[in-house]
Amino acid sequence: MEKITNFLKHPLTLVVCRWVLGLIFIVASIYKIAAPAEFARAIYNYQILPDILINPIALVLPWIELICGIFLIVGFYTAGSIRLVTAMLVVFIVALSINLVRGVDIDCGCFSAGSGEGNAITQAIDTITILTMGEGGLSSTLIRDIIWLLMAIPVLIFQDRWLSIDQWRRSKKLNEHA
Amino acid sequence: MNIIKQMAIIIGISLALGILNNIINPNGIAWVGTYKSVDDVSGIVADANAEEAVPADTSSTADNSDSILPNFDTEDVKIYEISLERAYKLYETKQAIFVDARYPADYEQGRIPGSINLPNDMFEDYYPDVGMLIGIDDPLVIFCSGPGCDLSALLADNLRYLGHTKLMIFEAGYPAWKAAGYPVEGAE
Repeated sequence: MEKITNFLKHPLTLVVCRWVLGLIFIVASIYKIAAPAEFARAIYNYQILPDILINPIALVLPWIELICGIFLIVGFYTAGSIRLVTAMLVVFIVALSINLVRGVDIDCGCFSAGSGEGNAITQAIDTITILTMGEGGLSSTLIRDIIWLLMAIPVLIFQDRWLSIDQWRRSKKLNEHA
Repeated sequence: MNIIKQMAIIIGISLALGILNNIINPNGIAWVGTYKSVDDVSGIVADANAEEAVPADTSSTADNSDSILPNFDTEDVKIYEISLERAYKLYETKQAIFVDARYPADYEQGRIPGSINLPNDMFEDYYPDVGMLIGIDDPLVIFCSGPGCDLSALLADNLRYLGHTKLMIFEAGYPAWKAAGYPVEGAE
Protein backbone atom coordinates (compact mmCIF):
# COMPACT_ATOMS: atom_id res chain seq x y z
CA MET A 1 0.00 0.00 0.00
CA GLU A 2 2.77 2.37 0.91
CA LYS A 3 4.54 1.48 -2.32
CA ILE A 4 1.45 2.40 -4.31
CA THR A 5 1.11 5.70 -2.48
CA ASN A 6 4.77 6.44 -3.06
CA PHE A 7 4.37 5.68 -6.74
CA LEU A 8 1.26 7.83 -7.04
CA LYS A 9 2.79 10.83 -5.33
CA HIS A 10 6.11 10.55 -7.15
CA PRO A 11 6.78 13.83 -8.97
CA LEU A 12 7.30 11.96 -12.24
CA THR A 13 3.95 10.16 -11.97
CA LEU A 14 2.21 13.46 -11.38
CA VAL A 15 3.96 15.11 -14.32
CA VAL A 16 3.10 12.22 -16.64
CA CYS A 17 -0.57 12.29 -15.55
CA ARG A 18 -0.71 16.04 -16.09
CA TRP A 19 0.88 15.86 -19.51
CA VAL A 20 -1.17 12.93 -20.77
CA LEU A 21 -4.45 14.46 -19.60
CA GLY A 22 -3.41 17.87 -20.88
CA LEU A 23 -2.57 16.51 -24.31
CA ILE A 24 -5.81 14.52 -24.48
CA PHE A 25 -7.91 17.55 -23.60
CA ILE A 26 -6.11 19.79 -26.08
CA VAL A 27 -6.55 17.26 -28.87
CA ALA A 28 -10.19 16.66 -27.94
CA SER A 29 -10.96 20.36 -28.05
CA ILE A 30 -9.64 21.11 -31.52
CA TYR A 31 -12.33 19.59 -33.74
CA LYS A 32 -15.03 20.87 -31.42
CA ILE A 33 -13.76 24.41 -31.73
CA ALA A 34 -13.42 24.13 -35.50
CA ALA A 35 -16.80 22.49 -36.13
CA PRO A 36 -19.23 23.59 -33.41
CA ALA A 37 -22.26 22.46 -35.37
CA GLU A 38 -21.06 18.85 -35.42
CA PHE A 39 -20.22 18.90 -31.74
CA ALA A 40 -23.61 20.43 -30.96
CA ARG A 41 -25.26 17.61 -32.89
CA ALA A 42 -23.23 15.08 -30.90
CA ILE A 43 -24.44 16.68 -27.64
CA TYR A 44 -27.99 16.68 -28.99
CA ASN A 45 -27.73 12.98 -29.78
CA TYR A 46 -27.02 12.23 -26.14
CA GLN A 47 -30.62 13.35 -25.49
CA ILE A 48 -29.81 14.64 -22.03
CA LEU A 49 -29.72 18.43 -22.19
CA PRO A 50 -32.58 20.74 -23.13
CA ASP A 51 -32.16 22.23 -26.61
CA ILE A 52 -31.56 25.72 -25.27
CA LEU A 53 -28.34 24.64 -23.51
CA ILE A 54 -26.87 22.60 -26.34
CA ASN A 55 -25.30 25.35 -28.45
CA PRO A 56 -23.90 27.44 -25.58
CA ILE A 57 -22.22 24.33 -24.19
CA ALA A 58 -20.97 23.32 -27.63
CA LEU A 59 -19.41 26.76 -27.99
CA VAL A 60 -17.82 27.15 -24.56
CA LEU A 61 -16.96 23.65 -23.30
CA PRO A 62 -14.22 23.03 -25.92
CA TRP A 63 -12.44 26.19 -24.80
CA ILE A 64 -12.51 25.02 -21.19
CA GLU A 65 -11.01 21.74 -22.41
CA LEU A 66 -8.31 23.56 -24.38
CA ILE A 67 -7.33 25.97 -21.62
CA CYS A 68 -7.34 23.28 -18.94
CA GLY A 69 -5.22 21.11 -21.24
CA ILE A 70 -2.65 23.85 -21.79
CA PHE A 71 -2.63 24.78 -18.09
CA LEU A 72 -2.11 21.17 -17.02
CA ILE A 73 0.87 20.81 -19.34
CA VAL A 74 2.59 24.01 -18.31
CA GLY A 75 1.46 23.59 -14.71
CA PHE A 76 -0.35 26.88 -14.32
CA TYR A 77 -3.47 27.08 -12.14
CA THR A 78 -3.01 23.33 -11.83
CA ALA A 79 -5.37 22.95 -8.89
CA GLY A 80 -8.23 24.67 -10.68
CA SER A 81 -7.53 22.97 -14.02
CA ILE A 82 -7.42 19.46 -12.61
CA ARG A 83 -10.71 20.02 -10.80
CA LEU A 84 -12.39 21.20 -13.99
CA VAL A 85 -10.90 18.28 -15.94
CA THR A 86 -12.14 15.86 -13.28
CA ALA A 87 -15.58 17.43 -13.36
CA MET A 88 -15.71 17.18 -17.15
CA LEU A 89 -14.64 13.53 -17.09
CA VAL A 90 -17.31 12.76 -14.49
CA VAL A 91 -19.93 14.46 -16.67
CA PHE A 92 -18.75 12.54 -19.76
CA ILE A 93 -18.82 9.26 -17.83
CA VAL A 94 -22.35 9.92 -16.57
CA ALA A 95 -23.57 10.91 -20.06
CA LEU A 96 -22.02 7.81 -21.65
CA SER A 97 -23.43 5.58 -18.93
CA ILE A 98 -26.94 6.96 -19.39
CA ASN A 99 -26.83 6.14 -23.08
CA LEU A 100 -25.28 2.74 -22.50
CA VAL A 101 -28.15 1.92 -20.17
CA ARG A 102 -30.59 3.20 -22.75
CA GLY A 103 -28.93 0.92 -25.27
CA VAL A 104 -28.44 3.70 -27.78
CA ASP A 105 -25.40 3.48 -30.02
CA ILE A 106 -24.51 7.10 -30.59
CA ASP A 107 -21.25 8.60 -31.68
CA CYS A 108 -19.45 9.76 -28.54
CA GLY A 109 -18.36 13.06 -30.07
CA CYS A 110 -15.18 12.82 -28.05
CA PHE A 111 -12.58 13.53 -30.68
CA SER A 112 -14.36 13.87 -33.99
CA ALA A 113 -17.80 13.99 -35.46
CA GLY A 114 -17.53 10.44 -36.69
CA SER A 115 -15.16 7.71 -35.70
CA GLY A 116 -12.07 7.20 -37.82
CA GLU A 117 -11.59 10.85 -38.63
CA GLY A 118 -9.15 13.30 -37.22
CA ASN A 119 -5.42 13.78 -36.93
CA ALA A 120 -2.61 11.43 -36.02
CA ILE A 121 -3.09 11.80 -32.25
CA THR A 122 -6.84 11.16 -32.26
CA GLN A 123 -6.28 8.17 -34.52
CA ALA A 124 -3.62 6.89 -32.16
CA ILE A 125 -6.04 7.22 -29.24
CA ASP A 126 -8.72 5.42 -31.27
CA THR A 127 -6.28 2.66 -32.18
CA ILE A 128 -5.12 2.19 -28.59
CA THR A 129 -8.73 2.09 -27.41
CA ILE A 130 -9.65 -0.53 -29.98
CA LEU A 131 -6.52 -2.61 -29.35
CA THR A 132 -6.90 -2.65 -25.59
CA MET A 133 -10.65 -2.81 -25.25
CA GLY A 134 -11.99 -3.98 -28.57
CA GLU A 135 -14.54 -2.26 -30.75
CA GLY A 136 -16.95 -1.79 -27.91
CA GLY A 137 -18.34 1.54 -29.07
CA LEU A 138 -19.60 3.49 -26.11
CA SER A 139 -18.55 0.92 -23.52
CA SER A 140 -14.86 1.07 -24.49
CA THR A 141 -15.12 4.86 -24.54
CA LEU A 142 -16.54 4.69 -21.04
CA ILE A 143 -13.68 2.52 -19.80
CA ARG A 144 -11.21 4.91 -21.44
CA ASP A 145 -12.77 7.88 -19.66
CA ILE A 146 -12.68 6.04 -16.35
CA ILE A 147 -8.95 5.36 -16.82
CA TRP A 148 -8.39 9.04 -17.49
CA LEU A 149 -10.39 9.91 -14.39
CA LEU A 150 -8.15 7.60 -12.37
CA MET A 151 -5.15 9.45 -13.79
CA ALA A 152 -6.59 12.74 -12.58
CA ILE A 153 -6.94 11.58 -8.99
CA PRO A 154 -3.22 11.66 -8.00
CA VAL A 155 -2.92 15.18 -9.38
CA LEU A 156 -6.01 16.14 -7.36
CA ILE A 157 -4.67 14.69 -4.13
CA PHE A 158 -0.95 15.34 -4.20
CA GLN A 159 0.46 18.81 -4.36
CA ASP A 160 3.86 18.19 -5.93
CA ARG A 161 4.12 20.27 -9.07
CA TRP A 162 7.44 19.26 -10.55
CA LEU A 163 8.09 21.04 -13.87
CA SER A 164 5.34 23.58 -13.49
CA ILE A 165 4.85 27.31 -13.50
CA ASP A 166 2.97 26.96 -10.21
CA GLN A 167 6.06 25.46 -8.57
CA TRP A 168 8.30 28.11 -10.05
CA ARG A 169 6.03 30.89 -8.80
CA ARG A 170 5.85 29.30 -5.38
CA SER A 171 9.64 29.03 -5.03
CA LYS A 172 10.05 32.58 -6.29
CA LYS A 173 7.65 33.81 -3.66
CA LEU A 174 9.48 31.83 -0.98
CA ASN A 175 12.79 33.30 -2.09
CA GLU A 176 11.38 36.77 -1.88
CA HIS A 177 10.29 36.17 1.67
CA ALA A 178 13.62 34.70 2.65
CA MET B 1 -11.02 30.12 -2.29
CA ASN B 2 -7.92 30.31 -4.43
CA ILE B 3 -8.96 27.19 -6.32
CA ILE B 4 -12.47 28.52 -6.96
CA LYS B 5 -10.92 31.72 -8.26
CA GLN B 6 -8.72 29.73 -10.62
CA MET B 7 -11.69 27.79 -11.92
CA ALA B 8 -13.71 30.96 -12.35
CA ILE B 9 -10.88 32.58 -14.30
CA ILE B 10 -10.53 29.53 -16.58
CA ILE B 11 -14.27 29.46 -17.25
CA GLY B 12 -14.31 33.21 -17.79
CA ILE B 13 -11.51 33.08 -20.35
CA SER B 14 -13.22 30.16 -22.08
CA LEU B 15 -16.50 32.02 -22.25
CA ALA B 16 -14.80 35.06 -23.75
CA LEU B 17 -12.87 33.01 -26.29
CA GLY B 18 -15.99 31.01 -27.13
CA ILE B 19 -17.96 34.17 -27.83
CA LEU B 20 -15.13 35.74 -29.80
CA ASN B 21 -14.45 32.62 -31.82
CA ASN B 22 -18.10 32.17 -32.67
CA ILE B 23 -18.09 35.66 -34.16
CA ILE B 24 -15.02 35.15 -36.33
CA ASN B 25 -15.34 31.42 -37.09
CA PRO B 26 -17.04 30.99 -40.49
CA ASN B 27 -18.57 27.78 -39.09
CA GLY B 28 -20.14 29.67 -36.19
CA ILE B 29 -23.56 28.66 -34.94
CA ALA B 30 -26.52 30.37 -33.32
CA TRP B 31 -26.34 30.56 -29.52
CA VAL B 32 -29.76 29.05 -29.26
CA GLY B 33 -30.20 26.18 -31.64
CA THR B 34 -33.41 24.62 -32.82
CA TYR B 35 -33.22 20.88 -32.81
CA LYS B 36 -35.72 18.97 -34.77
CA SER B 37 -36.31 15.55 -33.37
CA VAL B 38 -37.95 12.56 -34.90
CA ASP B 39 -41.09 13.46 -32.94
CA ASP B 40 -41.45 16.54 -35.11
CA VAL B 41 -41.53 14.52 -38.32
CA SER B 42 -45.09 13.88 -39.29
CA GLY B 43 -46.49 11.10 -41.40
CA ILE B 44 -44.27 8.25 -40.36
CA VAL B 45 -46.36 5.11 -40.68
CA ALA B 46 -45.78 1.44 -40.20
CA ASP B 47 -46.19 -0.15 -43.59
CA ALA B 48 -49.46 -2.00 -43.90
CA ASN B 49 -48.07 -4.40 -46.48
CA ALA B 50 -45.23 -5.47 -44.28
CA GLU B 51 -46.86 -8.58 -42.87
CA GLU B 52 -47.87 -10.26 -46.08
CA ALA B 53 -44.76 -9.23 -47.92
CA VAL B 54 -42.09 -10.58 -45.62
CA PRO B 55 -42.79 -14.35 -45.60
CA ALA B 56 -40.25 -16.26 -47.58
CA ASP B 57 -42.70 -18.81 -49.01
CA THR B 58 -42.50 -17.22 -52.41
CA SER B 59 -45.53 -18.71 -54.14
CA SER B 60 -44.98 -16.82 -57.34
CA THR B 61 -41.64 -15.07 -57.36
CA ALA B 62 -42.39 -12.59 -60.10
CA ASP B 63 -45.62 -11.26 -58.61
CA ASN B 64 -44.34 -11.27 -55.10
CA SER B 65 -41.41 -9.03 -55.92
CA ASP B 66 -43.89 -6.44 -57.14
CA SER B 67 -45.82 -6.45 -53.91
CA ILE B 68 -43.00 -5.84 -51.48
CA LEU B 69 -43.03 -2.10 -51.98
CA PRO B 70 -45.51 -0.15 -49.90
CA ASN B 71 -48.46 1.43 -51.68
CA PHE B 72 -46.95 4.85 -52.10
CA ASP B 73 -49.32 7.76 -52.16
CA THR B 74 -47.75 10.54 -54.20
CA GLU B 75 -50.43 13.02 -53.12
CA ASP B 76 -49.95 12.60 -49.40
CA VAL B 77 -46.38 11.40 -49.01
CA LYS B 78 -45.81 9.17 -46.02
CA ILE B 79 -42.61 7.75 -44.62
CA TYR B 80 -42.96 4.01 -44.31
CA GLU B 81 -41.21 2.13 -41.56
CA ILE B 82 -40.06 -1.23 -42.81
CA SER B 83 -38.44 -4.19 -41.11
CA LEU B 84 -34.89 -5.36 -41.62
CA GLU B 85 -36.05 -8.47 -43.50
CA ARG B 86 -38.14 -6.37 -45.78
CA ALA B 87 -35.26 -4.00 -46.39
CA TYR B 88 -33.12 -6.96 -47.34
CA LYS B 89 -35.78 -8.22 -49.70
CA LEU B 90 -35.87 -4.87 -51.44
CA TYR B 91 -32.10 -4.92 -51.59
CA GLU B 92 -31.98 -8.40 -53.06
CA THR B 93 -34.55 -7.63 -55.70
CA LYS B 94 -33.01 -4.21 -56.39
CA GLN B 95 -36.33 -2.47 -55.98
CA ALA B 96 -35.06 0.44 -53.94
CA ILE B 97 -32.03 2.67 -53.62
CA PHE B 98 -30.36 2.47 -50.23
CA VAL B 99 -29.53 5.83 -48.69
CA ASP B 100 -27.17 5.96 -45.72
CA ALA B 101 -27.89 8.98 -43.50
CA ARG B 102 -24.85 8.53 -41.24
CA TYR B 103 -21.67 10.60 -41.20
CA PRO B 104 -19.18 10.00 -44.04
CA ALA B 105 -16.61 8.54 -41.63
CA ASP B 106 -19.06 5.85 -40.54
CA TYR B 107 -20.00 5.15 -44.14
CA GLU B 108 -16.36 4.75 -45.06
CA GLN B 109 -15.77 2.33 -42.23
CA GLY B 110 -18.53 0.00 -43.26
CA ARG B 111 -21.52 0.25 -45.55
CA ILE B 112 -24.15 -1.62 -47.46
CA PRO B 113 -22.72 -2.24 -50.94
CA GLY B 114 -24.34 0.05 -53.47
CA SER B 115 -25.76 2.37 -50.82
CA ILE B 116 -25.48 6.10 -51.28
CA ASN B 117 -24.16 8.29 -48.47
CA LEU B 118 -26.27 11.36 -47.83
CA PRO B 119 -25.37 12.52 -44.30
CA ASN B 120 -28.38 14.33 -42.94
CA ASP B 121 -26.26 16.72 -40.91
CA MET B 122 -24.48 17.82 -44.08
CA PHE B 123 -27.58 17.68 -46.23
CA GLU B 124 -27.08 21.01 -47.94
CA ASP B 125 -23.50 20.18 -48.90
CA TYR B 126 -24.26 16.70 -50.16
CA TYR B 127 -27.66 16.91 -51.79
CA PRO B 128 -26.60 18.91 -54.86
CA ASP B 129 -24.25 16.07 -55.88
CA VAL B 130 -25.89 13.03 -54.36
CA GLY B 131 -29.33 14.16 -55.45
CA MET B 132 -28.23 13.59 -59.06
CA LEU B 133 -28.04 9.87 -58.33
CA ILE B 134 -31.60 9.50 -57.10
CA GLY B 135 -34.69 10.20 -59.11
CA ILE B 136 -37.61 11.98 -57.54
CA ASP B 137 -39.77 8.85 -57.92
CA ASP B 138 -37.17 6.26 -56.99
CA PRO B 139 -38.13 4.16 -53.98
CA LEU B 140 -35.62 4.99 -51.27
CA VAL B 141 -34.69 2.92 -48.22
CA ILE B 142 -33.14 5.28 -45.70
CA PHE B 143 -31.26 4.14 -42.63
CA CYS B 144 -28.67 5.19 -40.07
CA SER B 145 -27.17 3.50 -37.04
CA GLY B 146 -30.20 1.92 -35.50
CA PRO B 147 -32.77 2.72 -32.81
CA GLY B 148 -31.98 6.01 -31.15
CA CYS B 149 -30.49 7.39 -34.33
CA ASP B 150 -32.99 9.78 -35.86
CA LEU B 151 -30.92 10.82 -38.85
CA SER B 152 -32.87 8.56 -41.18
CA ALA B 153 -36.28 9.99 -40.23
CA LEU B 154 -34.95 13.54 -40.48
CA LEU B 155 -33.36 12.79 -43.85
CA ALA B 156 -36.60 11.26 -45.10
CA ASP B 157 -38.40 14.41 -44.02
CA ASN B 158 -35.87 16.58 -45.85
CA LEU B 159 -36.18 14.49 -49.00
CA ARG B 160 -39.96 14.66 -48.78
CA TYR B 161 -39.69 18.42 -48.57
CA LEU B 162 -37.69 18.40 -51.80
CA GLY B 163 -40.33 16.35 -53.55
CA HIS B 164 -39.27 12.75 -53.18
CA THR B 165 -42.34 10.58 -52.90
CA LYS B 166 -41.27 7.00 -52.19
CA LEU B 167 -39.66 7.01 -48.80
CA MET B 168 -38.98 4.11 -46.50
CA ILE B 169 -36.88 3.95 -43.35
CA PHE B 170 -35.65 0.87 -41.63
CA GLU B 171 -35.04 1.70 -38.04
CA ALA B 172 -32.84 -1.28 -37.21
CA GLY B 173 -30.22 0.36 -39.39
CA TYR B 174 -26.71 -0.58 -40.36
CA PRO B 175 -25.69 -2.38 -37.12
CA ALA B 176 -28.62 -4.80 -37.42
CA TRP B 177 -27.95 -5.28 -41.12
CA LYS B 178 -24.36 -6.20 -40.37
CA ALA B 179 -25.32 -8.41 -37.43
CA ALA B 180 -27.77 -10.28 -39.63
CA GLY B 181 -24.90 -11.24 -41.90
CA TYR B 182 -26.20 -9.30 -44.88
CA PRO B 183 -23.62 -7.95 -47.34
CA VAL B 184 -21.35 -5.15 -46.16
CA GLU B 185 -18.21 -3.62 -47.50
CA GLY B 186 -15.62 -1.15 -46.25
CA ALA B 187 -12.59 -0.89 -44.04
CA GLU B 188 -13.92 -2.89 -41.09
